[in-house]
Amino acid sequence: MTRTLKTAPSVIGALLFISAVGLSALGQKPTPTFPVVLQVPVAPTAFKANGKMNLVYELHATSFRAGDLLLSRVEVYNDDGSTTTPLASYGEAELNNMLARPGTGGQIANARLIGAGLRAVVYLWLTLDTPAAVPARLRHRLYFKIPNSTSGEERVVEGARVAVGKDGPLVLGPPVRGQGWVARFNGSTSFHRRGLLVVNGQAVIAQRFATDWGKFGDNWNALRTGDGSKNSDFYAYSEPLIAVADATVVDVRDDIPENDPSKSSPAVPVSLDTAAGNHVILDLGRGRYALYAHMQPKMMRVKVGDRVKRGQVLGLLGNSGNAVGPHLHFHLASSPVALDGEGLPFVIDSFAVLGVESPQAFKEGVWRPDPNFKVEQRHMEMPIDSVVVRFP
Amino acid sequence: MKRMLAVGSLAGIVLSLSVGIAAAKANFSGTWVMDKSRSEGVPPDMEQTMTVTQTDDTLNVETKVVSDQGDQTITGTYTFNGQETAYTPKRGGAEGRGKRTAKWTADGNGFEVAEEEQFDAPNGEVTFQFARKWALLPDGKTLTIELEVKGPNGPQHSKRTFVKK
Repeated sequence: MTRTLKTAPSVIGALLFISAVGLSALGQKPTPTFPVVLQVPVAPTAFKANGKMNLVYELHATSFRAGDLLLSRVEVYNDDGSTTTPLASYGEAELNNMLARPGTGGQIANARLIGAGLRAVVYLWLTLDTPAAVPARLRHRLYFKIPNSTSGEERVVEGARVAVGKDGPLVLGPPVRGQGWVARFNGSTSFHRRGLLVVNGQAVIAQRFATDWGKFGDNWNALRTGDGSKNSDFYAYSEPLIAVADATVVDVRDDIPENDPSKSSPAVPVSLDTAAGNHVILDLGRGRYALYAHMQPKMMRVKVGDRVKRGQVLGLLGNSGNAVGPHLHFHLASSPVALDGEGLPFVIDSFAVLGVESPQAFKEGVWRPDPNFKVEQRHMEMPIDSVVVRFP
Repeated sequence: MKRMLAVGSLAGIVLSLSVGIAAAKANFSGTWVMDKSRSEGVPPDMEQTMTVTQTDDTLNVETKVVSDQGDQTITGTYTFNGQETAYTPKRGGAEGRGKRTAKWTADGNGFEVAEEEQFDAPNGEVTFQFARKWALLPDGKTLTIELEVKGPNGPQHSKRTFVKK
């Protein structure tokens, strides 16, 4: 769910409404002792995607109240004090699609209802028009109702002030070559984005910005030939995977047998140890690591300790680990251990967008480029939301 | 003998009259919601709803307290037989020893409760004394409860006004 700061005259009415809501909201004073703890575990770093700036992060709200609470609104503000208008405001309907309740497995009737001692995780994805619109700091206001209260009055908690990362995203080259690559499952509601996992006592989302790369064939309209019962039916299969930057190889695994795409279960039981399948992890420096997952076994071109150059082939795209077909799972994280650490944003220095794979096309496995779509050259952006791209 | 009988009959008549004009006891049964605007000495974020069940000599009260810090249900029983009853008070997770005596006021519109609670603390026993006074207003729909507390933090006073739901 995103909110965009708009300045076009056509949305003046909407802005006035939002402004009024913001002013009204700020008129409601926070209750400093209200027993909810707010945390932003990982400060966001702005990155460009689809021509806009994006701030992607999580807000954790933990209730210390001896009874239920109902989260009714979340507002995000620029913390420089220059405006009373929230950058983004999310009401009940939107929050229903933005919340996770750890430990419930999603089996909860009302995710906004937070019991004593329990936590809600709000997945935030703010979209801003320009780099200048990206604030240096953010703060948050959360509005709660007490279900057992007869008054129905809302309580306001303000906090979770956080500085936006100053360094910007890491600039990378592409992890694959050529055209027809589709960037899947990296949008605001994707399972990667929301892949909260506890590893060594820390709740992390290593896959926060992970992309599953599939490939359309040269006829541009399908991911595979044949009936898809063999890995080699898929155009992506055996594509060379290349280093996104000069780096050091810190982890290689190539002993996991490949999955049979005609079967629903993977070749090996999925665990933290096997989920990434055969993989390579590159140390890009300054605590940033690139994971290439689900590769082919026994086809690695590098070993631990190797220094690699950008564009150098690491191995071949495959179908191993927690995968249901040949694809490359690529992400950047703060740990050299697959699926550990916090996912970090990155941008790719140059690529062309050829179109967008619609949900219907994804379902059918057939994509027909829109003849009216104008190929767009993108620089320093992250390919997201099922764009189909060509790399240099 | 005749005279003695006459005096005895008179006394019996007076006694009967006395019993006959004894005030009827107010009935507090029902659900009562605290009116914060007419209450004093109560935290501003606190709401209270009482459910009262009353029989001849006993009044059971269940109070649901809702505040920013949490929801709480407190139960109590007042017995109007003039005898002291023991109960187990709980404060801050600790259990103590309590005793209370309840009696109707002369006008029958309310009652008074005297309570004493003792808790074992690291530096010795801590004692609280509570004096509650319930009164039903003539409209029959408004109830006030005055509470005086004497404890280690000094005396406190509150007056809660409840409206029948």
